[in-house]
Amino acid sequence: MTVIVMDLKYSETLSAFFDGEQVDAELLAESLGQPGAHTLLLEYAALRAKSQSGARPSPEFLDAVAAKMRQAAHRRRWQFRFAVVAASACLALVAVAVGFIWAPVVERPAEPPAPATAVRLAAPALSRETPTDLLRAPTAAPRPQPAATKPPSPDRVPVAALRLRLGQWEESLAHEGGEGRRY
Amino acid sequence: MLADDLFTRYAVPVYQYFLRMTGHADDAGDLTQEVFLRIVGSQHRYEPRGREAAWVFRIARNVLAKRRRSASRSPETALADAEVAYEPDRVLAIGFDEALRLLQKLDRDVYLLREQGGLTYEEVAALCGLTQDGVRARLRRTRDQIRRLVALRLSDRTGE
Repeated sequence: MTVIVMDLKYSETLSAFFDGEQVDAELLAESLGQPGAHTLLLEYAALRAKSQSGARPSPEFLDAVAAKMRQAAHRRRWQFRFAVVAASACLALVAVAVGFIWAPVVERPAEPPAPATAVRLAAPALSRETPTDLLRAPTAAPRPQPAATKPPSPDRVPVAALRLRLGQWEESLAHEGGEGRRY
Repeated sequence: MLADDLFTRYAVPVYQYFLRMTGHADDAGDLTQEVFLRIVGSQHRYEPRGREAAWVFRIARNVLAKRRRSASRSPETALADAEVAYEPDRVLAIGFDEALRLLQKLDRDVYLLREQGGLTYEEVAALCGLTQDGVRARLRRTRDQIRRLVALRLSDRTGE
């Protein structure tokens, strides 16, 4: 390495040009025209080569790091899955808890508000018809009701029956004794 | 998988970045591993707005900052251990790494993000909280310092 004395603006322009940065073309032309510019660029290149040719990590080290990276990636995948499951479970628990907290409130009927105004309507003529009657078809004829048969009262025998019994009695008497009527 | 792809491409640059920032091979290994395990854990949040390199080195810087906060050992004390990992015949390389060690921490960070990570000035500026002009000036100054330090080291060793 040789020590090159150059104006700062020229060496800075050459340094930036060497790094591939944008430089002023006119200033670059001036810089490249300076004595020692060629050597300076070569020395920059030599320094870069030294920078990038330092000690390298051993292949064993690189393999070990790569293996740890694979393990970490595998672990991370499982952690992600576990987190998703845990988050879903937490969400479900929260939903259930919210349901328990809010459900009674929702089901409890609210007290009706006190009436501010009472409106009294004229009472309509009440129909004796029940809703069931109203639902019946109007064409359907009323079913004839069977006549109610009163059972004969034991102490009040009809006259016809008495006459029948009397006739029977007379016949039996005539058959037994042949006698005429005694009354 | 994104993490595998990034590991294939950036494991060595990240390791070398850490090695030069900490000066300790074991620390560099631990930090590299931590970076890529973080990438595995956060790759679902990756949005390809910028370049992947910027994202990887942002994580690397965060990991390094966290380690620095918690570590009691300073990088300077670990430099002697780190030299053991280098080949003895690479005199120039040792001189280069020693020159890097003598830089200010931010200058070294900016330089390595550019050279090791391949980040643009805009990306380096965003990561380090600088302007692009600030990055440009720092890189120029850092390169000049390294060149002077390496030349000085070579002249010391060769007895010039």
